[in-house]
Amino acid sequence: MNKIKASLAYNMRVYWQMSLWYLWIYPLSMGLTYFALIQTRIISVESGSLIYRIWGSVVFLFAIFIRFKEDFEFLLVLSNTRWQIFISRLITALGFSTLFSVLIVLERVLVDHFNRILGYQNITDPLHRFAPYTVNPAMQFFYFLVLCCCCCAAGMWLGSLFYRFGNKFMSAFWLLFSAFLLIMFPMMMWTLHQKSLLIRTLSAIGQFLSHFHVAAASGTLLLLAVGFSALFWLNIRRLPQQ
Amino acid sequence: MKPEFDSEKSIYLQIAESIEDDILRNVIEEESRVPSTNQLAVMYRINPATAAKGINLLVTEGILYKQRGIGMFVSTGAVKKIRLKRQKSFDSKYVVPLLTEAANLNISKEDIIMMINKNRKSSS
Amino acid sequence: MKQLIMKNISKSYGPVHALNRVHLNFSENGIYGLYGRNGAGKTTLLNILSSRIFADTGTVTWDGRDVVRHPEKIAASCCYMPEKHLFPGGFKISRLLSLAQQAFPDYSKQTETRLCRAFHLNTGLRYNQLSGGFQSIFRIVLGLASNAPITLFDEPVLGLDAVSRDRFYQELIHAFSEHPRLFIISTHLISESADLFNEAVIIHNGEILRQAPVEALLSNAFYVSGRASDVNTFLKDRTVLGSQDVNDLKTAVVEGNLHTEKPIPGLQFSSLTIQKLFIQLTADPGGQESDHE
Repeated sequence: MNKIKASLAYNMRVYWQMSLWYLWIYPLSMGLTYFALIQTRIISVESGSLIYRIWGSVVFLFAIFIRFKEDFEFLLVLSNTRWQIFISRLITALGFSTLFSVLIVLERVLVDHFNRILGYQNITDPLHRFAPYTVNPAMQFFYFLVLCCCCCAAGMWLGSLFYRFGNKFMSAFWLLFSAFLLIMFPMMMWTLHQKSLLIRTLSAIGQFLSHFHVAAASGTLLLLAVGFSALFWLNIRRLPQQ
Repeated sequence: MKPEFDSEKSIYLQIAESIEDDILRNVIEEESRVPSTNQLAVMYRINPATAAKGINLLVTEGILYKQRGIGMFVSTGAVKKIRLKRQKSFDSKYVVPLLTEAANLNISKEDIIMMINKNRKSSS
Repeated sequence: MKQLIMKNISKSYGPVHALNRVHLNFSENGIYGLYGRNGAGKTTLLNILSSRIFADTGTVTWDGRDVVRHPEKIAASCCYMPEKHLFPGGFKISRLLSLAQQAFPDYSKQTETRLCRAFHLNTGLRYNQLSGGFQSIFRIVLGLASNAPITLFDEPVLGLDAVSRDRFYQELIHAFSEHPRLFIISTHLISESADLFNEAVIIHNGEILRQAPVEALLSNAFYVSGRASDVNTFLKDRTVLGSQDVNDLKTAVVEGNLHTEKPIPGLQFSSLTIQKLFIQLTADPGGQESDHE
């Protein structure tokens, strides 16, 4: 039990320091961008609006939970079993998912409030149509909680795979990922465009995203989170220190 | 007590001898306390088992005795015991090597006796 | 008496056999030395004992329990201070020590304070601000203050000056006498450390050459020197561990007890130091002198 407490104290501190960077850099850069856009009259204060943005932090959570090597090796030095390491990381992921989910829901509540007061409408941001928001804040919170947990779990699993299979695997992974993003995905778009299917495909996707069923998606994400966590455990239970 | 050990003889023997030397020269008096096994071990940076072996050797020979909970003490009559023990081994330890080396150097018995008398005079 | 037992342990990294059928027995209250050349398998052995890595075959048991099947048992009792730098560089030493205090059940804050003062370790610095020598000192402080029933050190005195090394040996014995536990210490400084150990383990090319008290090792080998022809006669039917020729004279290291040998005219017998014995046992075949013709 004390081992887990020590591991948690360590993990929380590490992830808190990383999150702090995000929590002040992101709002600051967002604020500056909007200020610049308003100043250069690309958008006007009346036609603009406050929108929900912080939910992009799920990507950030995925990224920071890929960190594995330093934590794994240090926790082994503190003589943690791999099960204790697993549990403490899980609790850390849950803790930070909760924190970010609270911030996301809080942002939404505040933005809606200010939009109402200032008479704005959420029209200028096209992506806002596809943001998975719902009226019920509790459901909203649960949705983002499982989304964050899912991203954390996926990141942890990926990080542990990188550790086990080394730099070659990591390079191969990112190469494939970049190849998909920069080559395969645009080529797919171009093929669809050639076949005049692009517009139809995009609007179909748009339809799906704007009629997003938050509850069902939450269920799926929960299963995915459990799945990724299980894969993470299976990878680290006999993972040798490199 | 000897500050360092050499590699020629077992350490526990050197510890025992070093304590004996101190008892003989009255640096440690009879019925006074000698350092404990652990104190010796820390002082010499040696394993306590080695220090214990040296101490136990002296206990077996009756030179030291143990007072439960307090420590190791020098027995009464230890000086006499040590002297007796060393007198017995004086022959093999000093005389035999002396004669062997003298033979190697072709020094005669008469020369040896002359050297002994000369040194005896100056030391007394 | 609890025992830490390695039975038939083998470990390979691809074609390299790091450990080959290793059998070792460690008793719960003792200081064991682990001697071996670079790459002999010392770190692999310590890693397997502490479950950092897993053996290909064989078992490690602590107090009768298999450490792989019951990892919590060994984790609760073991503290392994590795040679590698596996500490988060940005953390302050004081914070790392307080994490250790939480993690190790028998940790003594008193010992930690005393040792930090003795070694002049500045706990306000971050780990990556320390020099290599002070990083070793930090590992020593942590390892000794942990009071773990099994404490393993991999090259604890790397980069330490003579004064600090001597202090470590002193503090090690002090810790051991106050709070007996199983210490296993790997080191390259053989002559300095030999007196600390109950037993020394000599490992070479992944195999155990010797496990015995240092005195037993030394009473089982000696130098014989004299004229080459006389020495060679003596060496017949004996296990020779190494030899050296200069002109007509020869010195050889031979297995046996120096004190039970009958004196032979023209031959001189003398005792060996543990470092020389180690060199003879683990030197490359062909001898150390072969390049100097």
